[in-house]
Amino acid sequence: MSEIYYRAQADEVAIFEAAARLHLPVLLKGPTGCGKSRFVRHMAARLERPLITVACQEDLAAADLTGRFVLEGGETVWRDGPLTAAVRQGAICYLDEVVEARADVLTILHPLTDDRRVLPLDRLGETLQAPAGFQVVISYNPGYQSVTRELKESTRQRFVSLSFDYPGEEIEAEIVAHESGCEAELAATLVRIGRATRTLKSHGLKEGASTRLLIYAASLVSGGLPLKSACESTLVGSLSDDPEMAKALRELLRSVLG
Amino acid sequence: MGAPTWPPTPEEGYAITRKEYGEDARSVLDFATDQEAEDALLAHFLFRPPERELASGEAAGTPLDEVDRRLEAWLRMVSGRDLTLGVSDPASTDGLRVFLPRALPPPRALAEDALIYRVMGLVQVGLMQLSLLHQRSVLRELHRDWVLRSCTHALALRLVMRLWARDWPGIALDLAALAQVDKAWILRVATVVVPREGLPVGFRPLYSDLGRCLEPAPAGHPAAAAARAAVAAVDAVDSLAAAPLVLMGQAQALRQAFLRQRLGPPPLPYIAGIIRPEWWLHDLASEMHASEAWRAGPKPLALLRKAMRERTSSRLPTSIRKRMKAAPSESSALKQALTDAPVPVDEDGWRYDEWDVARGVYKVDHVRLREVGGHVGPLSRYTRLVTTNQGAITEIRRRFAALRLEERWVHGLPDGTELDLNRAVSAVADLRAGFTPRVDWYKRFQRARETVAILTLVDLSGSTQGRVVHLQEEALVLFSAGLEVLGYPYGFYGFNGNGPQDCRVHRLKGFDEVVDDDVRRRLANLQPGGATRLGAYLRHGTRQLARRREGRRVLLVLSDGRPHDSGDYTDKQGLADAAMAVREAGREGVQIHAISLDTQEHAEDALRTVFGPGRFLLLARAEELPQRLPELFAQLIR
Repeated sequence: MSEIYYRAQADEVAIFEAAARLHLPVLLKGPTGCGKSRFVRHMAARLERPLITVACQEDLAAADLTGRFVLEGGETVWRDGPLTAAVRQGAICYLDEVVEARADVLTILHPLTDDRRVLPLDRLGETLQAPAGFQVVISYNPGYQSVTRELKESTRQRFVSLSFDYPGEEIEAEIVAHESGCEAELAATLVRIGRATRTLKSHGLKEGASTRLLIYAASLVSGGLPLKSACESTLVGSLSDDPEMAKALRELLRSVLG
Repeated sequence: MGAPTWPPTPEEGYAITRKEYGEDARSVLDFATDQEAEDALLAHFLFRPPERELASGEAAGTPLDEVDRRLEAWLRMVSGRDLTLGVSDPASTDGLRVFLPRALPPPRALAEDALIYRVMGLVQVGLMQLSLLHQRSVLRELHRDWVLRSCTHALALRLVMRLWARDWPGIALDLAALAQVDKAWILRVATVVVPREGLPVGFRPLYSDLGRCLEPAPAGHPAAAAARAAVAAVDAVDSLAAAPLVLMGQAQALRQAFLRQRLGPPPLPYIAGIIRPEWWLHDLASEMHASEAWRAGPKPLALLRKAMRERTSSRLPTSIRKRMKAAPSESSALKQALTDAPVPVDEDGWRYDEWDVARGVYKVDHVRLREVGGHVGPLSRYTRLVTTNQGAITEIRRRFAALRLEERWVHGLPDGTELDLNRAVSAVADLRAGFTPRVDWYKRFQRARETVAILTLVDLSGSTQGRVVHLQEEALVLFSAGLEVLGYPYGFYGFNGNGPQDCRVHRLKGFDEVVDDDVRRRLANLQPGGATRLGAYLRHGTRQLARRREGRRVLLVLSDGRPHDSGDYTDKQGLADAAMAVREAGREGVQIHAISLDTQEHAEDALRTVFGPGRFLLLARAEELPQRLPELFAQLIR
């Protein structure tokens, strides 16, 4: 399995490896675009396990995870859902943005995430025992308060938690340069802008610029776009629709770029 | 008289001082000692009435309101500090907030004025970052000595401007442009504008290379030597860490030199603002606590009246006694307005239980709550709110109209107008496999939504006095405009009180009332005062909504703080009782959501305790309230 680039910030790799060894599920918390999904891909490759990713959303039903009967040429055929498939393959099942799913749907994870490690499939009258390689990983961004949901306590306490944040300045510049192929100096400039925008979190912006967004800006520049246009279409346009905040972001760009 | 020569003759010095500092400073040169001269100058600048021209708003440049949001955002971003903006002329800081003038001097030119505001903000943020101004001993010294303060400030100004320009290429361009802007370089001592012409040579090196309109010092002039040396030393500083020692040492040296030259404090350019050590030294938290306690308590006039009644022979000053005599008689309506004691609509009121968290029991009928008519004020306030928010009202009406007519397919129904093919296939598959399928394979097209009854409770406790209550009025006016379009039944009530026996809800708009001029007068004239026994108001709101027949019943709470009332109704008890009231509402099928302007520490935790996760919105800026209230409601019913 090919190596997936991930720049470790602390001991997250060691913790994940220990959790995987001990069959413990993992919860990743952190702001958008800070590298949670990349980390899971990296770890799956590192542990040489298949990875099955589910992007959670409100309409996700339990059957969407476990599987359902479908009609095929007049026959009823069972089709595994991603969770069942992961259990059968001994894969890592990664539920991204897990709080977007309804809390009652997530309770099907409970028997898989404690010492039983089983998945009951009522429709098949079967109970699958998870093999050693199977692991549940969920992620969410606890930053959005307002009228959104939180994870149920009974779900949250089944997981080993790893908190992510944006990397330190030098590491982030290294990541941006690596991912976009841009010069180190440009990466450092973009990271400076990105870090400045993060001070506006909850003060005009819901989130500051993510590492991912900085990589986009750097990639556009590497692709031949002038720096100012690249920043305008990423670090201004993608961060806010509020005209006043857009002006503030443009003034920041001008202050940094001159 | 021609241009003065240096060193000036006593006559010339006398004339310069008079020209710059006015007739009042005539006696400065007559004093025998430096200290006396300095004291005279100080008295002149500190006690002369400030120039109001710059702050009055008449013939002013761009007002702060026009740029404050983007300015605050930009300052946060370049400084990395969690700061907010306030209003003060001259610009200043207390170490936490940046205060800028309400309006700049005329003429009005947006680009130029925005530039001035940006640099003013940067200077104050730079002062915040100087560790020098975080030392109490230094602050006390600056507080005592006006000349030292101005010398320190002038040198610090050079330093912070240079460091900003060094680290930020765009800011270097800003500062270069600012050097050409005349009004940025108006010179002032405190709030008093002094002429730039004939600026004593001793001061001039302080401003060299900053503003183009300031006259440079003649090369090699002995009177400028002290300032030149100080400026050279400060210009050699390369980091904030090294700054305090150099700044303080050079400022002390300058102070001595200026006193020797009988020059007093150096004037500072408009963009520099002022250092107010007293703001840094003052314990703002305790001041706010004291003022809130005062506002939450009885009204001052009521207190005076009580004092009058208790003291048969009053020793109050005559001026106050005259006002007391002029106060209206017991029965007059004016007295009611003054003492903030509304007439109850329902004399008996309601009784509510209260949850006692310490003992884990309900205190039965512990709270007495009366519903009273809201304060009726002038209609003009309503009209003004509508006029100034016309754009926002149109937008909210449009959005609410869209909510009303939103059409969509509702899936998973046991009965409906059409078969939901996906679910039907699933059900057939289940049947074939020998399972009993769920009977949910119909869908229908929904044209109208379920009717929602909505009750909004507005915190009218004393702490909302001022800006918050005005924003609440604006929010209610905007929200009612939207709700009128939607056609759902709704009510607005304010709440405040004093202790468990005197809880009041003020009817601003009852469910059955139409929005007429009476309602408009009440909505736009909220009268804050008293405390917040939140649990009782939530129970009252729940009782009102539980009687409604609408399918959904929503209670929205607008508050600026936590439950707090006399006795033990403070943090833990208040939060626990309010949280219990929210649970009771849930059992009655009433959804409670809150918008909070709470600025205290752990506000989010307190809100989560009371309302539960995902059932509150904490606004960092109170100004967002009028827009966010209708938005929140729209999200809730979508």
